[in-house]
Amino acid sequence: MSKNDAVSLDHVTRAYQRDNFEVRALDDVTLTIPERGFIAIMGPSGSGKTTMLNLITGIDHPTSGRVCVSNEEINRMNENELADWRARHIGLVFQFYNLIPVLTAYENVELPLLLTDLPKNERKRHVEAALEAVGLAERMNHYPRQLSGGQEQRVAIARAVVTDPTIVVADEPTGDLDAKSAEEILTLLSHLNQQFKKTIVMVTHDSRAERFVDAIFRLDKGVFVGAENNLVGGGQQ
Amino acid sequence: MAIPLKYSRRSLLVRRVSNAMTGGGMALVVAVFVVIMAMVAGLAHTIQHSGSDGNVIVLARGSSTETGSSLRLDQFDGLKFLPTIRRDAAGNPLVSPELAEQVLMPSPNGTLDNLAVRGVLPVGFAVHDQVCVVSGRIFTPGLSEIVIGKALIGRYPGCNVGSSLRFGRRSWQVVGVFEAGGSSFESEVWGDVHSLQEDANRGTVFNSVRLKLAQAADAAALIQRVADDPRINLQAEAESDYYREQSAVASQVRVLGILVAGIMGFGAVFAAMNTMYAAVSARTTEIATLRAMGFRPRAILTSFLVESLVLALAAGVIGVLLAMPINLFSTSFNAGLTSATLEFDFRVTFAIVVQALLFAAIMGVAGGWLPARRAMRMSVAAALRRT
Amino acid sequence: MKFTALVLKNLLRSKRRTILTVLSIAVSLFIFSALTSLPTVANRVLADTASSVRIACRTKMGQAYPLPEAYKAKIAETPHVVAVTPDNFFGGIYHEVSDQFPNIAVDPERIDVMWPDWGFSPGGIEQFKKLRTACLVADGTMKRFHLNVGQQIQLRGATYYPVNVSLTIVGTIAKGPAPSFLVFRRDYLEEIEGRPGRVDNFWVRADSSQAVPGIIQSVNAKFANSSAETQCDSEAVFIGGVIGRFRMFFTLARILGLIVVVTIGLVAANAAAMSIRERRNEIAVMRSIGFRSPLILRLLIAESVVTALAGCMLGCGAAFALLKIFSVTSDVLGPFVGAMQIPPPALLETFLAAILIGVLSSYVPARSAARRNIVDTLRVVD
Repeated sequence: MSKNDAVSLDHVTRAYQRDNFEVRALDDVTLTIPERGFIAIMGPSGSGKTTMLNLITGIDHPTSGRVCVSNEEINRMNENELADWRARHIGLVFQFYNLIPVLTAYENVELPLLLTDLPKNERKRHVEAALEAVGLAERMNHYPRQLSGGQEQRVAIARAVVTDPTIVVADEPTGDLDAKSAEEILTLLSHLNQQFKKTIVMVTHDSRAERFVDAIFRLDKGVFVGAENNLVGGGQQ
Repeated sequence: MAIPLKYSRRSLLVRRVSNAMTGGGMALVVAVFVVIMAMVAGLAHTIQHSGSDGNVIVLARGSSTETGSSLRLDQFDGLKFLPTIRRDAAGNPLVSPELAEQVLMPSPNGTLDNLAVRGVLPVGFAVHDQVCVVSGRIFTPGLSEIVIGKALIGRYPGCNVGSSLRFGRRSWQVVGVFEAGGSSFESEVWGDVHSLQEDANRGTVFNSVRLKLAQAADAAALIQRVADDPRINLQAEAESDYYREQSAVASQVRVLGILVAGIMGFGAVFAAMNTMYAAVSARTTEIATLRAMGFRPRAILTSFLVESLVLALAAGVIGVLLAMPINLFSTSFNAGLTSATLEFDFRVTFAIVVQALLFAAIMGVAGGWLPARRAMRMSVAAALRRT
Repeated sequence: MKFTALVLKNLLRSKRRTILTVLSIAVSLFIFSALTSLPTVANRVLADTASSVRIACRTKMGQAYPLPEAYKAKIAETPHVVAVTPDNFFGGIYHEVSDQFPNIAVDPERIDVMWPDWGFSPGGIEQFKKLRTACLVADGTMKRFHLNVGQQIQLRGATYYPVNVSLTIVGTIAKGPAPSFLVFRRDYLEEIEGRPGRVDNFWVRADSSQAVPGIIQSVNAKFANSSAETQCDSEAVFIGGVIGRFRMFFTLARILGLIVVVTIGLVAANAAAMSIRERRNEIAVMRSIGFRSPLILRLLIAESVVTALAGCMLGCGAAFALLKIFSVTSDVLGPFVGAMQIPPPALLETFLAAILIGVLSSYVPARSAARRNIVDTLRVVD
């Protein structure tokens, strides 16, 4: 593992017991994701994409192997340490946005900042900046039910980047959106990667994504089958 | 590191109807609690206020109540000249021999009440210094005149100044009304001790003697002195202690009240649990998202507990407000076959309000604990996968 | 019923919710049945113990004004009077004040005639008539203080008889006027007191219940305007008056009972509404299959009623069990409580309350769910 790797998986396996069978969601996967990369993880349904994402974010633990994110072995941390670590290092974007319905856009974006020591006016600066970056500054005080799908996802992205995390992890970010909105989101993510130098790991089966990313990692039945370098994005393997 | 309060507050409002019904149930339980406690407090207050500081009550040795005690004239004479008894301006000792009777009176609702009748000498009014005549005058010794306590006005036919009340063997003329600081004396009829003795054929027997101590005198010394004296064969007690013992029945009612409210509280707790479990189920995605963002499991637990607590406290406040009007009511109580009928007010005291809110808080925590734990322990990955 | 399985399956869908609802209903109905029983029990005690041929002739004025002994002969002269027994309410204390139980002193000669229903132990009456310091004690009291026949006990006088008496237990009373009770001889009390010749109450036995009103009238008339007037009432009225003192508690109990029912109703309504709301889609699907609205309404209400009845059985069962345990382990309340087994009228009321709760709590949400526009319902994405 070199110093420039944002994420590194070393012989990682995640297995479940289903009655008498052992199901391997991930089977001996070894890969690295470079800093500032915009990577797509693709594969058919059940290939282990989401599992891998959960392992990278510390939401789940490998059965064997090591998971290193930003040079920290997260598989060794306990629940509380992981929570704190996620707050500092990870920004999450979900397929169904997962905004808190009873909070406004502003308040949703502010949530991760509550886990830091920043005073209120500092938080305000960050929130407003994040909402600006995703182009939704004027909708700050709207509730999620008052926003369209694409707008909700943008708020979610703002929430994901507001703490300036090491990595942004997105699980099917365009899965619930129409073509136009999907394009907008992918453009936004690409922008964040290039302009703000954010490492982005995205699980998707949206073929449109191929145009935006630096590389595509493919999984099939829990096995890492290979990486494709994307001519458009550039970046190392 | 905590989840903001506004999240809890607004989440409560989302499931408005559900929470309102649960809250309503809790409010009713709190209201019942307050009413019962108010009754107990009112009863205890009335009884306990009957004792004056600085007064000592003397009874026959071995008696536990006034009505069960019997003193003779010579015993009374022996008491009059004990040291440390206060004297009035004219130098007379403030010692009041008293006759304590109960007569049967048909009550307004058809049963028979035990009306407390007390025979005193005029000095009795000086010894019971919380008693003061508010209308009319004191009875004239030797005549069939009486004064009635404030709580008795209009309770029985003849209970008004100027009318006459029939009990015993004669009609007694009501010449005045007295107040006694809300104590049990206000439910009594006071008359001349000798007239009452004569009417009941009691000769020269008294039930008790009340002594007023001189300023800063030590009650304990006097009590010991009476206990040690073999000739008079009496026992003495501070009035406040005596009345505290008499209010034992109030504490029995209190225990019963706490029991009833407590059991109802259990029912309310189950209801609160139901509501909270439903809320947790409905919000699994939210909870998982918060955990994924980096909020610690503890924070989730606290957030749900706070929700439950806020609901319970709001219900508690409503319950207390619902029960407040009981303060306007008074009722009468008969502790048993051989006790006097007491009129007393319901009293919602500050202490009761605090206890009621505490009770509500306990219900809230008890009801929210298990669901909150469930929310805390939820598997984040599983919850996220479900979407 | 072919739909029973469906109703039950739906209840078991969320076991936790169903169990919690049943428990809260059970707790509340437990209280409700206990509170509702109180007045009924009181009335039953009245009915059980009051005899239709006994009359209580007591002093009209209060315990301070007892009746003279001489009245006994005069009362006995009244037509249709079979026996007269004077009674003094001694109210003595055995042990502590808090242990107090009613005790009276009576003339021994006719007590078997006066109170044949009290169930005196065989031989007890003869001994009572023979031994001056004898006393008869209720079974409850014997058990409570671990007393035996032949034992000597002391009672300290309280109230209006400030003397102490030493008594020998010669027999027991199976079914007296109170679960804890003691009777001793009046002539012994008189002797200790120095023969004041006073009586609190004369018990009079009539030869038939029709004669009772006449006797009451003549006795009252005989002593009207004398220095000690009497007030005569049939035993039922007399005991009713005693119980009437607790009327305030009974009223309070009734009101509490009502509040409890309303509270439960809220709880149940809550649970019903939640459960129905979650199944909106399923209900819509069932209707699209062909289930009609009224049927769905009935099924949903049935679920709620079943839950409420389960709570009712649990609550009443718990009350029963508690009373049984009480009657076995508690010497004080035991005999009294044993008689207290939630009387049928109270059970019925509780049962009805449960049904009412089940129906009313689910009616509104069930109706709206059964009638909702199918198409709209199926289209809602949660």
